[in-house]
Amino acid sequence: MVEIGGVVSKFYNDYVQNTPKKLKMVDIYLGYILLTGIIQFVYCCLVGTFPFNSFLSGFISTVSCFVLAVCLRLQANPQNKTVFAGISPERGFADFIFAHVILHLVVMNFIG
Amino acid sequence: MGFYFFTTTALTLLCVLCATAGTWSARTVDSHLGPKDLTRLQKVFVDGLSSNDLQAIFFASQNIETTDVTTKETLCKKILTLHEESKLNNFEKDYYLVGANRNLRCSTKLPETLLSKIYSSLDSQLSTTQEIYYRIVTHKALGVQVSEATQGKVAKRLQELLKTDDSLSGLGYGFNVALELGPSGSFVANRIEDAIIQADEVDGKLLQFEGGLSITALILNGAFGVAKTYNKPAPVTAEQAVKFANYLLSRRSVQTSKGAHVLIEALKTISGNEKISPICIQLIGNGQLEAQSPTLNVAVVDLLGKPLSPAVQSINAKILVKKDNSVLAEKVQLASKSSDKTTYGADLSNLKPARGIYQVELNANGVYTQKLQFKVLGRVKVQSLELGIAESDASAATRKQTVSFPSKLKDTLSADSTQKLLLKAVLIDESNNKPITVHQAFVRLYNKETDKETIFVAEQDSSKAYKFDMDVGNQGKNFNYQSGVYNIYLTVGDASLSNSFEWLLADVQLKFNQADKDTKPSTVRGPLPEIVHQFRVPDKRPPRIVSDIFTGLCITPLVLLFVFWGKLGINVSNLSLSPSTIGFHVGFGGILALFFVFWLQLNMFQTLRLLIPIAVFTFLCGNRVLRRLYAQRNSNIKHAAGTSS
Repeated sequence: MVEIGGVVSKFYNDYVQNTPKKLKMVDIYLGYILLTGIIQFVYCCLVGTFPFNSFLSGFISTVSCFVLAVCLRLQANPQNKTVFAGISPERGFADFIFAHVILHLVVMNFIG
Repeated sequence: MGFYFFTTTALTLLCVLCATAGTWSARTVDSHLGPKDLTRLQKVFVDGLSSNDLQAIFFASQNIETTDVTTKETLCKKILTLHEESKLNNFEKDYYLVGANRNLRCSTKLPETLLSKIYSSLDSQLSTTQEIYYRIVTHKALGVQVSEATQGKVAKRLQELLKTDDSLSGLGYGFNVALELGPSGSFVANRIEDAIIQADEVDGKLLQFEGGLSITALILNGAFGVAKTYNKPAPVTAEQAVKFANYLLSRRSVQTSKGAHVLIEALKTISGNEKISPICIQLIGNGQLEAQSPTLNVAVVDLLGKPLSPAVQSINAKILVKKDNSVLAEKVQLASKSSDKTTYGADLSNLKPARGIYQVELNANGVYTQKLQFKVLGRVKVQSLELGIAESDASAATRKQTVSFPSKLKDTLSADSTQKLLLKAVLIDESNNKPITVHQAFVRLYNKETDKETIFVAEQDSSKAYKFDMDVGNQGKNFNYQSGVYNIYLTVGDASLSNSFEWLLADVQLKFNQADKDTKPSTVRGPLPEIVHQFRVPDKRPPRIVSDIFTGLCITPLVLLFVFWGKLGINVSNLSLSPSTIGFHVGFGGILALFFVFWLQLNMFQTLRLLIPIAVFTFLCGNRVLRRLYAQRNSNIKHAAGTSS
């Protein structure tokens, strides 16, 4: 138990110290999206799926946002520079914005 | 083994049954040629005489006399022209002409050429027995005696022909020729069996020869004639004679002169042979005897409806009750009525036959037997009849009135919808005063004004009295709720009653309650109600408060997001107030706002139309902002690198 506690605290300290501020911001955003999705799912389990298209569009929206945010984080991470050689963080951000515009157009259409 | 035994027993039993069935109508037929049939056949001949057919005229003239001179003259001329035109064989039409000429006793001479042809015909080689027959009878009709030499020649030729020809018509004509040939024709007697054996039996009741009435009559006449001429036993047995007679009688509706002629001839032939000829024993009247004076009368006649000669000596009758086959009487003698030679009768009143159906087995001279069925009618009497009106709920005592047959109740009864009409009748047999059951017992209520009637069945109760009760309130529908005065009739009928009756008992004033108003016809014509499309009913939504709570819950992570970002310390200092920066943020905000509006009211096309300019604007601004940030970062790195080095 102590070991696990040690591992966790070490992991946390490492994260706080070594992760760039921008990535932390994205991580918080990811947490927010995850939490929203969970709340929607709980609602669906407790109350029911009606109206189903609204639930679906909301849930898909959160999942997609999460995926896009993860993509952004991967591209913006300085450690992955070698992998995404030709893609600057700015370019990644622009893609992120563009994907969001398209995604939400679809979500709004589907929400009913 | 057991099966074999069983089969044999069954077969024996069957044979016995057949035998008994056979003996019970030995040498008798069910009908004869009655006056009605003879009149009709007479009419066939009259029609035949006025027809344009040589054959019909010949056979008609054979059977009826023409006395009128002018008709005779025209007929005599007509047959000559008809002979010219006729498409029949020469020998056949020659015979019809000669025969008709003789029957009509025409004064006109037949043409010499025709006569010489006929005379010479017998010298030539004749090809069929039919031709020989017609030539021989033509000679006979002309009154010419055929010489013995010619007779012998013809007989020889006939023998030759019959050797190869054993067809029915061949034999039939052969027999008839032999009759005219005298002793030289006696050889055909041996061929009679060959012909009779070819008769076809129908249903075990009829015997006929293939070819119908003409051939059957031809063979019968020939065969009987040959047997008589050459003193041979009758060509058919008594049983066969019955079947032939049945066949001939079944053809009594024949429509042609020839058919009518040969039918009568054949029946005469069979009747003429006493040893085998069947007779007809029939009930006189409709077979219904009155109980008071039951006299069984039968007619005994030959096939043509003539009295038998010699007359039947004695007729015994055995009378059985049809229902249980018990014997009522045996050896009842039927005595001949002096007035009519054909009628025999017996008075059964000392046997006191009860009402019912009986079977009588008649035996005449011990030779002729016949089974007949007759009915003894009874008389019904109304012993008592009560009529009354009672309350439906039996709250008051019933007042009953007695009516005696055949009078009518003086007062008019009256009944309303809370009451019922009662009737009870005891019907008895007049002879033994026992209650009887009749086929029909009806109560008929008749309204004179509307000419409408309603009939009810009276049921017999355990004491065999007929009962009828009608609840006026319940039965209104059957009267169409038509109140008024009704006549009550009692109808009693039975096939074995001689005095079935309908009796007007009384009048009754019936008052029905009104028909239900809601039973008016529902046949309203017009458009049916419009069918409105029904959308699917939405599922039940959760209560408002639950939705609101979850909406709130969904917003909380957003708050958390800002809280954590705040803790992390967002650096907004980098945000320069250049137009492109502002443009990018405003543009992006605009896009989100547009999506919000799209959700609320716009459709996809409107949205896209608005989205395109905003998106282009945002793209350009965004491009510039990010380009600047990139440049800034690169310079920072260089700067940092410079300072560090």
